[in-house]
Amino acid sequence: MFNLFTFNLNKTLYFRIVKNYLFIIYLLFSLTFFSQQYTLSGYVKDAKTGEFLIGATIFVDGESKGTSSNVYGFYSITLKAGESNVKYSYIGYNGNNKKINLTRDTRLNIDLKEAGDLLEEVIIDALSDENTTGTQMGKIDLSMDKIKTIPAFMGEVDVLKTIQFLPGVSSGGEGNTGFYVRGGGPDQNLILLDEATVYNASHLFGFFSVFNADAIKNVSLIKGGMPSNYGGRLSSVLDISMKEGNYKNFQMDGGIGAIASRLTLQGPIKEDTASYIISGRRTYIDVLTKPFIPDTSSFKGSGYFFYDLTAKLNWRLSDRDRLYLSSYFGRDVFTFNNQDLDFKFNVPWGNATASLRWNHLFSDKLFVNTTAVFTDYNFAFEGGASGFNFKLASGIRDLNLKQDFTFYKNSLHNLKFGWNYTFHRFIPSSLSASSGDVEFDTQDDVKVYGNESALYFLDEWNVNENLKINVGFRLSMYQHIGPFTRYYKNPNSGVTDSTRKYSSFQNIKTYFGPEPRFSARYLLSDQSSVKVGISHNYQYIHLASISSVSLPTDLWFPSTETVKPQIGTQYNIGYFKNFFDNEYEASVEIYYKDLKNLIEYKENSFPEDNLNNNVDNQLTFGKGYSYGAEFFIKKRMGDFNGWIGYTYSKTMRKFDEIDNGEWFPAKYDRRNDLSIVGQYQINDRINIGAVFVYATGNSLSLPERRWFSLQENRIITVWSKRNEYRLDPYHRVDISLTIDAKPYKKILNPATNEIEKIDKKIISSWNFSVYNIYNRANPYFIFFDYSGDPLQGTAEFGASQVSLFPILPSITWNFKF
Amino acid sequence: MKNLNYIFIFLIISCTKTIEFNLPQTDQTMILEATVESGLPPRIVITNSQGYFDPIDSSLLNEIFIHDADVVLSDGNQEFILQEFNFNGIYVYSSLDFAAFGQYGKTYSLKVNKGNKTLTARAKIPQPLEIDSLWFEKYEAYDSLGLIGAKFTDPDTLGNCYRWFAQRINTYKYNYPYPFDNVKGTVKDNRPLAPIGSSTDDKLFNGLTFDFIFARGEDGDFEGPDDEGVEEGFFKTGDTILVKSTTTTYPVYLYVRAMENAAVSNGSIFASSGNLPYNVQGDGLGIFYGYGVSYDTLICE
Repeated sequence: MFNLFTFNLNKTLYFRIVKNYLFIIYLLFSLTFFSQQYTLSGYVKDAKTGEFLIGATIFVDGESKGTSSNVYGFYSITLKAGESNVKYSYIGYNGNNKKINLTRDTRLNIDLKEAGDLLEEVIIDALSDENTTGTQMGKIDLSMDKIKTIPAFMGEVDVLKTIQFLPGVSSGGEGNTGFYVRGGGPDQNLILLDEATVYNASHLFGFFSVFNADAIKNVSLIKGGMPSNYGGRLSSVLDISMKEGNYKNFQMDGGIGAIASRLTLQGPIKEDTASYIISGRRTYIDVLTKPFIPDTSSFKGSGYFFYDLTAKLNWRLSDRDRLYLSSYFGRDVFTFNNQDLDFKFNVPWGNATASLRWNHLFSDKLFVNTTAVFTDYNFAFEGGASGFNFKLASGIRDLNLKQDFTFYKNSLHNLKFGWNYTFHRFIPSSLSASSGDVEFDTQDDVKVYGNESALYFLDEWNVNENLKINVGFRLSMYQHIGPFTRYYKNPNSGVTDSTRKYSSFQNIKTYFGPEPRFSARYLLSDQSSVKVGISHNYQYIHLASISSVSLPTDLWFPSTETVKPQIGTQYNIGYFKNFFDNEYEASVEIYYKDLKNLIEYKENSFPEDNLNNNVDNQLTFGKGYSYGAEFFIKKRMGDFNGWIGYTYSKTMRKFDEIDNGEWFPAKYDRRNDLSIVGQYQINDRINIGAVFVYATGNSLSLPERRWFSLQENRIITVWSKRNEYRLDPYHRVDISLTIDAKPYKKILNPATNEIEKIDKKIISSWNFSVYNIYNRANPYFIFFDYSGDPLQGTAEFGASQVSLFPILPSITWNFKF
Repeated sequence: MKNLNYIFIFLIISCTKTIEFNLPQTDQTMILEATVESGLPPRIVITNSQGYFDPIDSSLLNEIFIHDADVVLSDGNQEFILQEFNFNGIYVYSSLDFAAFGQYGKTYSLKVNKGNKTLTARAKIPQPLEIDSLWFEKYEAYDSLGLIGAKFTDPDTLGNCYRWFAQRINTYKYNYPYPFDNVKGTVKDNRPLAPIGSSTDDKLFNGLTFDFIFARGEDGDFEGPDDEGVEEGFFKTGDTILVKSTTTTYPVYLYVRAMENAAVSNGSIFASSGNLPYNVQGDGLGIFYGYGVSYDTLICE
């Protein structure tokens, strides 16, 4: 049967769609309004720091009309001429009510003040009902203030770990890079840091995220059907916005923790016009352990550390133009040295990103953001022994240019459209090796180049007071281009039978991806709604993991003539309800996700097989599906707040070359996943937090049979079908206690002879955390071994479980001035 | 991947506990392990698999061998019906017909029938290649210990695969702690042993002359007197070493690589997953090795 979604459009059809798309844009601009309406627009900012507020709510009393500020703090709303009462609000801030008499298009920038302790009712009034009124399903915004009080591993606040407490998002387990959203793989999450793609978001094999919490303003996760302005991934978008820096005053923040320290500097370059922020972090396990390793130790010179630096410059060029330059650089470095064996290796890896963004207001209704992004991720393994030296490296580099337009047409339609182009360069595997003076023949690196581009359009349409829909379409395209060498291998001998070389920019294969997106919300009452969503996505780059966990050694690999784009279709339906003036929110969501063209390494593949070869020659292709139900209830405000999230899901995979094409559970198939997060503000200065997580154990293959090789004198294991068994469930409780030092000191004023409170220059807090408080030995992996001598009839076979972290207390001191 | 295992062991504060799995009873699988190598009679062992966690007792060797199978070896021109021999409780199918001894360049086919089960396999004996030179590469840190250094020239034709074995044919000069407290005077290695990483193809060094080093292998899963502690993996001054260098085929190289990797990873999550790439077809599993062999001798001084 003909299937539009999987049909690769021919070029004629592609250009026809582009033509129609341009026509739609033309129509949008040429529309005129028949009633007298004016546009109210501007930026919403923090009164103290001048930073823009993302997602601030703008609501017009009596008209049931509203909007929210975008990621640059900009809002625009079209209203009838005359007097309106407009409420500006943002969670944790005092609301601001403005009576406005609109007689022409009006620009109004609003400063909101952070709420004081006695303004609880104002804060509650300011709470957003986005949960029930928005069309976006499965979108969660996390406030950094809240994230910082949730118990954190070794006291290091971690946005990636926090999102794994949300329903539908699961962790691969301790020591596992990446996270899994609704049955999707870790490569199916689009992780953006100020619009730049981050390919590996973890330090230390997944124990810490690369994002320094001090430099982050906002974290937004879309796990449901993503709107058409996002693309290139099947499962989720994690959109992280960096702080801009204080536009008013110089500020220094930092923290000294058990394993790492942080320092952030920010301030104005020109007050209210330009600002900067620079933030750095480094672990010091290596520095702390160094004095304890004697010079005579065989392992002198071994160690591990990671560091990251984030920096951002912002310039408000005019009332219509703003410029942002953001960058990130992070590295993990592991060094192993065995002096006795003259053996040493070095393993550095990390990301570098830079993004330059220009916001421009063509008019009060048309906002455009132009972005240029550079992204780079590298992994290397270099070392040597006894004259033999080698360097194994892989990497990915992107150059990305895009424009995103938002047209605030009227109170019924909010239109977004734009284009996106990325030039990819992949080095799946590069090796140099030598023995003495002899250089081994590792030939040229097999680089892979690709053009990825997209056009999109979406309309957030308020059909009536109850019905709101978000309909969009994204047309993506990927071209695998030269230079490229295709290796044709003889499967029996491993020898290259022939090669085919493609010249620079030669088109090797083109894929088109029509990606319709639709979501709708129907309000059942003021505080409850039903939402549905369908999204169809294409993904042109893939992550191939040779081991059964995600590691930095995993290879990013693009679509080629043999690797087709991954295709995902997700269907959602959900019921959303808020209680007690939006103080509580709750939801039930059901989803089904269909995945095609998934990749896996063939069994018994090894990293060295990528040399003088194409990685895709070692891949096998399959499909998968996932379905689940997610339950979520959250108390958003008050001294006690937190949430409970529970997910039931099933995630399966099928590959022709694995277990004769039988379905098997994905390794991150989690039937039950429960998270309970709670925080209690005991008084002005003391906050306690606790987290409980429970998850069905990871699936795994087990040795079912064994045989004895008399040729090798070894026991050979015969494994079960893929992922046929389960590890024990994962669960633990973490707790934290945060104590803020008094922000003032009391001194006796000799003039008045009265005690006065003077603000301290340095405001500090202590955070005490205990990870895994009941010392649960959660399974990390299982290994199998035997003791005794089989030939003497004395051998016993057994399995042992390795667990990583027992109970781990930590202390962190944070400061700010 | 092996190195990554070491990284993790070094990094993590881990704790280990024994656990139990309740696995369903599995049927026995017929296993074929066969070798043809230049100048020697064919050696075919046919056994049954056991459940992984089944206990082992002294009757193991009586139970695992499959007897009275019909085993036919063909070199393309002639067929040989192999007979079952008992070597101290080890049952091997072979032939004493000189014509059945392994010859360079020949491709052998094997067919095994037992009851209603049939296994077939093919193996080739490639032309052997001699090593240019050998030496004892002493480690300064360890006085009398060292590895074997070798110079080798790979022919300028891609697709050559190799496997390295070495056997110490001298005797132990002293005893080791229990249970090796009476090894003095016995031959150090009973047969040529392959270290982990013993097999390679030539994609990195096609047509090159180069030096390489090899550590001392252990006898499979069985540790000898000097396989623990400072002497582990090293040869020693005074050792006389019979180096058996072999050429083999790509399927055997893939099998040996996976088998050795599995031996050191024990199911670790950092290893590649799956069963070994067997080259036997039919109602069972197994491997048919073909080796072109050359020998050399080195005295460690």
